[in-house]
Amino acid sequence: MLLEGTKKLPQFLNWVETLPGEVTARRRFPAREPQFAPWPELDDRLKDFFVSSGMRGLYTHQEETFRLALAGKNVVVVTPTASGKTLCYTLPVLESIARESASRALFLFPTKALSQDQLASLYETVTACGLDVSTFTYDGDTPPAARSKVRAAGQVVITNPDMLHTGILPHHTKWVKLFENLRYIVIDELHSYRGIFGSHMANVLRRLKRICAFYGSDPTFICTSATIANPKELAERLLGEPVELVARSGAPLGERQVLLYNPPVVNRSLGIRRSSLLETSRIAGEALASGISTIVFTRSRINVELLLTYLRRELTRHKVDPNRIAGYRGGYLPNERRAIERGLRSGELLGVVSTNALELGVDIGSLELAVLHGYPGSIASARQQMGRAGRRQGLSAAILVASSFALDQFLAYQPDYFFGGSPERARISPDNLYILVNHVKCGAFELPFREGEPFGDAETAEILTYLERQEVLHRAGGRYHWQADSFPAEGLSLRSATSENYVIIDRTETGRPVVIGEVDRPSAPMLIHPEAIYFHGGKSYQVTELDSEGMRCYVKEVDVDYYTDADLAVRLEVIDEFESGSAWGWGEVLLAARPTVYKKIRLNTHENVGYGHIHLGEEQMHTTACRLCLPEELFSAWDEDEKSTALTGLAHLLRITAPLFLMCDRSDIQVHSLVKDPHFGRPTIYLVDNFPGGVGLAEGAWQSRERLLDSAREALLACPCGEGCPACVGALGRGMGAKETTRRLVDDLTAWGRSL
Amino acid sequence: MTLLSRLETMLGPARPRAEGKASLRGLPPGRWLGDGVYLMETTVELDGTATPLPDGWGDSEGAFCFDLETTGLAGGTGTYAFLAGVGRIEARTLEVTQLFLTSPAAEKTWLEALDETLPPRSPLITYNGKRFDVPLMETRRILHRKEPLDPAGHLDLLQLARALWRKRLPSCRLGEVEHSVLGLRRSGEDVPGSLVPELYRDFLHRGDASVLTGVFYHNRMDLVALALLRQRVARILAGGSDDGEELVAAGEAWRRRGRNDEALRLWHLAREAGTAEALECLALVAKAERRWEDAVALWEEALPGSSDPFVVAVELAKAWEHRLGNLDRAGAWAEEARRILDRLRPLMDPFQWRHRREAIDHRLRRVRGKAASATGGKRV
Repeated sequence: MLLEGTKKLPQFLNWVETLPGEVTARRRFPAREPQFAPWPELDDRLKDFFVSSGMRGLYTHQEETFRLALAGKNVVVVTPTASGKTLCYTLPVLESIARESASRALFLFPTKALSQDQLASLYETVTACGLDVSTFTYDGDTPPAARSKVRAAGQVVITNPDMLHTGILPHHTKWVKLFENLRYIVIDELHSYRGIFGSHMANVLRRLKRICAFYGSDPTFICTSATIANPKELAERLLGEPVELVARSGAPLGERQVLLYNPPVVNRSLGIRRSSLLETSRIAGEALASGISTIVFTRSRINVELLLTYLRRELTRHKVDPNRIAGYRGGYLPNERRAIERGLRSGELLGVVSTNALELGVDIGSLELAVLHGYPGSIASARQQMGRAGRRQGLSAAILVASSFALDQFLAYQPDYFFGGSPERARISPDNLYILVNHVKCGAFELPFREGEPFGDAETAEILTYLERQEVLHRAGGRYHWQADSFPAEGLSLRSATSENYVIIDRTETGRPVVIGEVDRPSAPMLIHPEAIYFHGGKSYQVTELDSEGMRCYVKEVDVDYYTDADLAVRLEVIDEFESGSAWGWGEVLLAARPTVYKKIRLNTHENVGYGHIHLGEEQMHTTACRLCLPEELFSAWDEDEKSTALTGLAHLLRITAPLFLMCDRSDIQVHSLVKDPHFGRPTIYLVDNFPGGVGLAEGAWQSRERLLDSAREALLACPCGEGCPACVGALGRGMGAKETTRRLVDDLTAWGRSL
Repeated sequence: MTLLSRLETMLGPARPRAEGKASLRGLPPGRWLGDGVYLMETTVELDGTATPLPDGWGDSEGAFCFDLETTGLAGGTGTYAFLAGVGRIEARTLEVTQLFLTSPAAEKTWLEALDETLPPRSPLITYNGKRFDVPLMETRRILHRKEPLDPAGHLDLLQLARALWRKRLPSCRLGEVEHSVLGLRRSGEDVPGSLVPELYRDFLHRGDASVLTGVFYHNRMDLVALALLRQRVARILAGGSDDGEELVAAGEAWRRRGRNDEALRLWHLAREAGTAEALECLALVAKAERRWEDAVALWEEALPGSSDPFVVAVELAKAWEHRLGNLDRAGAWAEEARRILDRLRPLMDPFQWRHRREAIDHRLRRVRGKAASATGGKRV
């Protein structure tokens, strides 16, 4: 079966080329031989175990990590899938415990599910090599009765950042044993700590290090990361310490091929293509029917279910048992997931349809083919998903099926951005004031701050003074003591900038209000103004009341065939410029938004079927923004309409391509254009970081400003549409020559830039 | 723009710093033990004798009443105590020592001073101290690298108060228990516990300790209540109560401690006081010890006054059927159980009623079936 499969894959890839859509790129990556390092000095039990289990030696990157970690150097290992990542961190930890049984280690995984996985695999190793290492997970699922045992006896404690933040650090006196003897801190999936989560994480680590210092330990960090542009920089910013980079994998890899596939055009002038969902199902269905083990990634849970249905139908048609494929996503129970993982490893399951839940280090063995339904939002995560098909020997392949999203279309025609050397930089902004102040509070709760005591590399003097004036802290004897009757970590989520979220309450059934979700404050004017349609769990609700004092939004279920889209009147006030050139600059801004009217737009056809007025106050947000001020001389021969059309077009292009350089979601930035900006007095486009206080996206845009313009231009030139479509300048300017006008502006701007 | 003004625009305004803090004032009589630690001593007369609880409850002759006032209830490392009240129980008095921490900066000195009044390992009497006061002290001591308090015995009266009066009191908060059980009344000086953190914050801010007068009183009265409560509980556990319900509950508390002898003694006393529940308790002990004749006699006596006569009738039916082998009696009690159940139907949850009714019908059929085959067998 296996041999048959490997023969079939090249034929299958050739078949994909014959489909009506377009294979816009097909790249081959040659096989790589393993590189071994001689066995390092190791505890006998460990070495015997590895030798007896057939290992020829450590791969070079494992040995390098081991050596550095043992010497007390912080390390970040960049590891492709299936390169023996787990051993990179378990080996130094087990060795240190074998030498000194009092030694402790803390493992941090971004999610609870991952920590369960790691516990299982670590447990296997520990048992197999006969070491007596007590390993526990400590998270929300740990029964209260077991907790005191974990605190006192756990040599390896596995947890996640949220639990560390609310459950461990504020109760550090119960963890004396751990903190006094903490030798290693393992941070897996380092690249997931970016943006808001990463900015919080950096502060959680500042708190962790303060507590370690209090108990006299100085742990070494071992981090693993998927391929991003700046693993070392990210690690150093997160840890606030120098970090060594181990980037050269010694693990073998078979030959790989990657294809970009764009579904066929159905309507050329509107740029409409055949559904990428159906194309994905057709491609994956053919592969599975030919016996090729396949993983399909898609972006939403609902798509997982849809694809699964289509694929099962396809398999039945080919007389293959439809139960040989499974779905995998958040919301499945842990033991269901374990069963699926086992099935994939054993080959009992031939394929799986998953959200990005399987992108992280869950062990499912290696499959032959990965089909990505749509670009997952970042190069790094695309590479991780593709890496799920990857074997140490033999051919494997990945196919990205482009969706109709603008960025997918851009990548389909500019494959160099997809394959080209560097993926995105992961950015964090630990000193975002909203985030920093909240963690200074948590830190003060844990241990009083000394006057002038730094918090990582952040200054605390003004913040402590401010908190003292708010009577949250009390200064006495040169220290700031926590003085409020509250538990600051409790209300602070690591996944948002401020704790201000609107709670969505369903009042469909009178007398039985049910909380169904939350919306963060900055998004509220767009999403949950009165009469807005709010989607949740596949149902539509209408907002009946928005209580901005109590931060509550009341909704009731409705049966409608439209969604709502609010127009915002936006005011941008530049408060401070941090860096600036003639046209570009970045700094702090006040973004004030007031929703004015909303349109009702019919589902599927997207026609406008009505509108309404919105009466809400202005929402203000302090954040950072990158601006592009266009020189007036470019527009000397333009009328106002043309000017406005071109600006809108350029803003649209920037909105599409910017996430490519910023490693963020589409919704993480806002782009606004003003024909005459009141601050600069010139036409200006702003790329605004959509998180209160900013998480580094504006600075990132400033740093990649040249490439932003280049990619915008390429997106425009490469788009096959006629007069503008959602994949380039937007559909609204159709019939007004928007595409042409924007092209003129972009050309002039490039020429002007060169002339400087 | 300075960082401070940015903080104000982004996170809201903050009160400007008070002009040079006024000197400390308004303290009640007492003396300084060091910078930031102030000692107050009072003697309170107690009625009655101070006998400790019987063995097995963590109490002892030299135990100290202990109660903290803290900056909050949140727990964790950010909550600290600013007032420790220690009560030494003498023959007819309670010697109260209160250690007041006038600044968090002096916590270490305060802990050291407390060691003098209350040496580590001292046995303690508290109200919810197992969950609150003692863990909080251990946390503070770890932060100052001192050995744990680790009391040699710990009588947490909350647990016993719950065991004894949970059924009759709306809550088992100390205030409720001292008012309803001990009949104590505090003066208007007392402040509710929930205001304590705010008052201390106010004191830290303005230096005027007179705002805390009510807190000092509150803490002192908590200690007095602890001492009196301990007397009362000791008496009840020894059987010195004429309240049958109390005795039943006390017996149950003994039983959970694994002391069936004391439980039986108290239940017999409760039976003498005319409490039907005691009969059921005694019957359950007889059942556990497989003294079936005794159990049946007790259940029969308990039935008329029982709060759940159906269960008692079922127990009787079971005992006669399985243990004493009298199917006629068993059938009669099962029928009686069904009559009781039908009578109670309008008062019962329909689901529970149906569930019980099916069970009893089943039992009745089985008992009758057995009886029939037994007589049939004789005939052959």
